[in-house]
Amino acid sequence: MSESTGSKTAVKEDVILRVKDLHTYFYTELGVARALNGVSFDIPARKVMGVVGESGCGKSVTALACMRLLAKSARIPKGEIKLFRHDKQTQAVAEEIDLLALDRMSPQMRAIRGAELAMIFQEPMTSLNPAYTVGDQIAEAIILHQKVDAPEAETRTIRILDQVGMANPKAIFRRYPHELSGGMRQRAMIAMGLSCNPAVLFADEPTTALDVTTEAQILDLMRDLQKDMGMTIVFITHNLGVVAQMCDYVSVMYLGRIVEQTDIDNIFYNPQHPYTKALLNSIPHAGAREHARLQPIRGMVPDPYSQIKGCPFHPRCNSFMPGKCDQKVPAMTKVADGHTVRCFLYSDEVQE
Amino acid sequence: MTDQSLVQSREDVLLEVVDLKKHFPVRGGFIKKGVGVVKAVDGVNLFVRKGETLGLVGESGCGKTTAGRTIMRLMEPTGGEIRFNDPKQGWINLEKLDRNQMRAVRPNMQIIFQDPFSSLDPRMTVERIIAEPLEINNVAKGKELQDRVAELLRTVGMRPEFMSRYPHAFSGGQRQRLGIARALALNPKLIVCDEPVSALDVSIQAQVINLLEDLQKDFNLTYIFVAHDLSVVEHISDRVAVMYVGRLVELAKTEDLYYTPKHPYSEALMAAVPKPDPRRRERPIKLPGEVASPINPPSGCYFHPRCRYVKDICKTEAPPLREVAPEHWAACHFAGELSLRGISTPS
Repeated sequence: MSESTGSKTAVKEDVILRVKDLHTYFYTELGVARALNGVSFDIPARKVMGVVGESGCGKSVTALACMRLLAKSARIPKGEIKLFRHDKQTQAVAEEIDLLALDRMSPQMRAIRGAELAMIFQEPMTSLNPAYTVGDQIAEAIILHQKVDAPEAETRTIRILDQVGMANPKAIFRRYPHELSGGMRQRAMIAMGLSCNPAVLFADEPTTALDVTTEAQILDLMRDLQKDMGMTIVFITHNLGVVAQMCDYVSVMYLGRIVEQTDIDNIFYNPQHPYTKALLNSIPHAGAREHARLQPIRGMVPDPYSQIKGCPFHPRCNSFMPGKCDQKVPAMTKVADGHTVRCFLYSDEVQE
Repeated sequence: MTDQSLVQSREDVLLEVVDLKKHFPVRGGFIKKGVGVVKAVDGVNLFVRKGETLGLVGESGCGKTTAGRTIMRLMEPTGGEIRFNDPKQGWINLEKLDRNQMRAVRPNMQIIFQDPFSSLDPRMTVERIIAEPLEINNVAKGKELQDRVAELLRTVGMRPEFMSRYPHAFSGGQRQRLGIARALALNPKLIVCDEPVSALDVSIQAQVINLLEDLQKDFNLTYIFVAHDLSVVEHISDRVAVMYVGRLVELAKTEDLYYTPKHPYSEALMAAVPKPDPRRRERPIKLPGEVASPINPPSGCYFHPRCRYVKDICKTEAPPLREVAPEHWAACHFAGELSLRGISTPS
């Protein structure tokens, strides 16, 4: 791995965002919640990377940390988040930006947020401002980031609303969020996320609140836009069905760590980590004709205030090795090209 | 009796619903006069056999929860019949019973709610929550009551020591188990499960689904399983009913509905299910526009403005639910003629 400081690096050309050993703690009245305990990944440009895990695993916190939108109670004691700007012609890395070195409210960070890094939030009703029309909210970002006047921003907004499949985008521009259905609000959120043509779009459970036919259409739309615009998407979800339909690569998270990372086919056809396998065995497989009994994962996700000695999954794991898994945290190790796993079944390597 | 009954032999049937309607008035303006009617449930026919699970699916606002609650008479039906095969009294029409008569039948029909956080009183201990139905119906008291609560907790996989705790001490999955224990307390025949796992984490969903399956076997329970997650419904149901804007559009055995749907709306649902298999990616069937409003539904077939097979008759005449194959009912003028695609299967 390269440890460079200059603007030209030895980073693989197609990496657009690098998160390395990221720790995030929340200091609350109940104690310290260790939300992220060393998350590392490279996000390949123009691909869809899925981040999967159950509630509390840190998938949303990871995205918010990258956006520098964490709550004030959060601290990042360790780790790095780097954004790589690529040269448009050569696709080589032209510049690297250390996002954690920037103040979250600094002009530089505000220029990046919304323009280069954008985010779609889970609940469109709470993340859209009820006091402004949908069009005004989207146009605001365009005026801010693309330095155009209001009429031009309106034209562009209407074009984006059209792109996300809204019938009659001119009328939608003047509507307030409460006048739209759930699916249309989520389309408006997507339009807002896309408005400045971001390099990386974080989509945090963008379809979880939607009906299945609307969900399928939003996913289809996001896939088309991603291909057309060459966008990178970090797709956060707990739904393995949605992951299978959407993503090129997947990171599986458990209690603030990534436990397995590989391409989409491997996750479903060659999973290695006991947690990934357990997740796949615990869900009903639609259309799979014969219906085996579901195999639940025993116990439940521990709360983030507790600290588990050893591998955090060991109390629920079917392959638990006493004296080993309950002592040290396994390191992320390579089991095949493009496939890494954090488990002592595959390597004795320990996380320092 | 002008009967729209779907049932030929009533022997093994536990519940039958005929032309069930539940309308809500919409009030507006200064004097709160009625300005319209939400036809949440608008002529639903279905039946449930003893010991089976009937899945009731549809998108938000289609009336599936209202249908479940009206069947339980937690809401008063606007019209139609709810016929229940009571183990003691035989066939009775629930909609005709008064409060006291209903109270005699109610132990046989229970409900499990979606949100395990709001359906348990935070000021009651687990013991009191589960004991309440037993006390009200004079089933047990004193030591006997406590033993029964302990037994119920063990039945749902929880330790009897938890009896003195309050709901806040439990996780979502555990609370859902408490809700199930409460529903089981009076040995019901029928349980309406209203989205019982949709608020739970993936790994916890499986625990609760397995528990429901085990209890069904052990106590010969009949379930009406109301849910929007089509994968879960496929897994747990023997038969499935699909609702769209207050009406039933299809009713069939689970595999018939999933692999050979007869209604274009069911076809679109099957294509939209996110299959957990990257080798089964497919494009959804485009449904133009939005789900019709139950206040002002379109003419004819409610699905016609979004249907890709629409013909003139669909715009003017509402199709009745009819048997298009053995035990397979669909409300479409062209059911049986159209060749529709079922859910994709692993190659």
